[in-house]
Amino acid sequence: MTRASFLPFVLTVAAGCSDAGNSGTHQFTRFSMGTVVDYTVAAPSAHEARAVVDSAHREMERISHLLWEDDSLSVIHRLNESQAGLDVADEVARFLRRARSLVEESGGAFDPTIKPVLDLYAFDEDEPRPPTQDALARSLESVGYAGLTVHDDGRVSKETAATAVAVGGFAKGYAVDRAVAVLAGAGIRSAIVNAGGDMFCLGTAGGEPWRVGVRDPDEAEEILLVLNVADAAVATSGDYQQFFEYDGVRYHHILDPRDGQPARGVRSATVVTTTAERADALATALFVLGADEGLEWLDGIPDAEGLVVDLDGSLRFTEGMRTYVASGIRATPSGG
Amino acid sequence: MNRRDWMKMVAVGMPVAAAYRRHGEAEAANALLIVTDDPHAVIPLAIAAAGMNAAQAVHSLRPIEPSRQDLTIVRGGRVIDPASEPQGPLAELARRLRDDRTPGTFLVSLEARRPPAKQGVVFESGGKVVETIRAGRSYRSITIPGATGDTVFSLQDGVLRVVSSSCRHQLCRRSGGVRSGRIVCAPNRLVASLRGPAPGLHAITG
Repeated sequence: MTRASFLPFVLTVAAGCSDAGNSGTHQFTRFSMGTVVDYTVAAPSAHEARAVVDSAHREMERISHLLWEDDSLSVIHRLNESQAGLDVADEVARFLRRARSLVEESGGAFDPTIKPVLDLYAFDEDEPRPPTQDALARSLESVGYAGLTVHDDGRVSKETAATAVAVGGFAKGYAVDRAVAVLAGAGIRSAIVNAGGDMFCLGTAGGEPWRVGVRDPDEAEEILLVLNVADAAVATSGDYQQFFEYDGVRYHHILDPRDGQPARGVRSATVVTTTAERADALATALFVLGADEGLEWLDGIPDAEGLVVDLDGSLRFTEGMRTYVASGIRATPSGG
Repeated sequence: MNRRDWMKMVAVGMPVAAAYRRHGEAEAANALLIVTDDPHAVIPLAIAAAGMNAAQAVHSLRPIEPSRQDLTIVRGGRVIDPASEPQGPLAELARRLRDDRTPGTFLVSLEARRPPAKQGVVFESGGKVVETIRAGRSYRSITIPGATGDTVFSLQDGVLRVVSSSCRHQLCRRSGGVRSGRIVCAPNRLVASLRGPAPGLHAITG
């Protein structure tokens, strides 16, 4: 993994549309997969930057129409709705196989087949509420990536009609990676593609690392610490991103596939690794596993580093994560 | 920094002064100067001890010949020994560094960037700026059309919030009020950004 340098830099970021006609860093805001996508691109002119961003976003939209389960025409949506499975394109098959690898790598802490349970919580409805124990138990019978088989001939078969995958975050990461590939193919050497907090930082900001703030779970407008990132992806899973309260208890959307309950070990988990797709899955798994087990597990993965915000608000991180921390508070290594 | 301040620095923090002089670190009116063997552990501690905003802290880092670990404050151009503030967190950090026998091999200069100026609000719909609000004023309702209908914002005492929206899930309204950053309504393709010099970040995760 590329190691970030530690030289200081000051580079301000303005929200909204880019400057017209000037060489430098230009910013654009788009929407895809139900979230905002921020493009920060270094290009000789705003015109050139806009052109490459338009190309990159077309690629992101293509992925969205292919993989975003909330798009009723997407392959994943149709797979979820099917009784026994369907034939899929090679790109989708490869995507699902990568998901399986990450399920195995995380020991099941990341498992997209949690979707039937996730649907029970009805986060998108006007009055969400936690499922009953009976409904939860029945739904958990459909959870487990073993229930989904991706055959060599491109057919995906489901063990039960209820088997379904929630790959939204994972697909978002893949879309970010593909958008970055388009930018790089167009000659862009310095950019950030940030889809709702899952991002890839391509190159550097004029020779200095990109500065990525990690949000404070308790104060949405506050930054807990800053990471120096270059040629790497960053993703965060947090219990504040999507939740509801019922009878005084907060239910958030990061469910533990083992029991179908919201994972309660940490407030947020951030991972820096080689691709945005992988960062999303590893951040989810780190969140589910919690601080002790999760950081120990992630320490054993050579191309990934992570940090968690513990329940008491303290920061804990893998040993290698320290090299990414530009500035922060209450930071202690995972051992203490 | 004038000669008198140099002499003060020599008096209160010889290793820091020596390292500073030898390595020609740039002058700063307000900074912490630290000699340490573990900058990545010490920098976050120094930021917390100084009460700096993490997002606004900027450091420079330079390898130096082994020197005694130390911390010196430069405030308003004046050199201050942190031990002169015996109860303060910076004094405590300075004591810890000075008690550590391991030679310091890095010189760190840590500064806080200027705080952001007053902010206005920029409203974008479908990628186009449709409204801008000047800084320092309050508005009971600002109606912005979007892809599914209107979204109504309020700006009161510097806090921007969504009052009502045509979107289905109302995440934008439920996210509450903000004093900085932005509010996004993805279904309506709306972004409401509080303008102003950014805190030195390129992106935010989480």
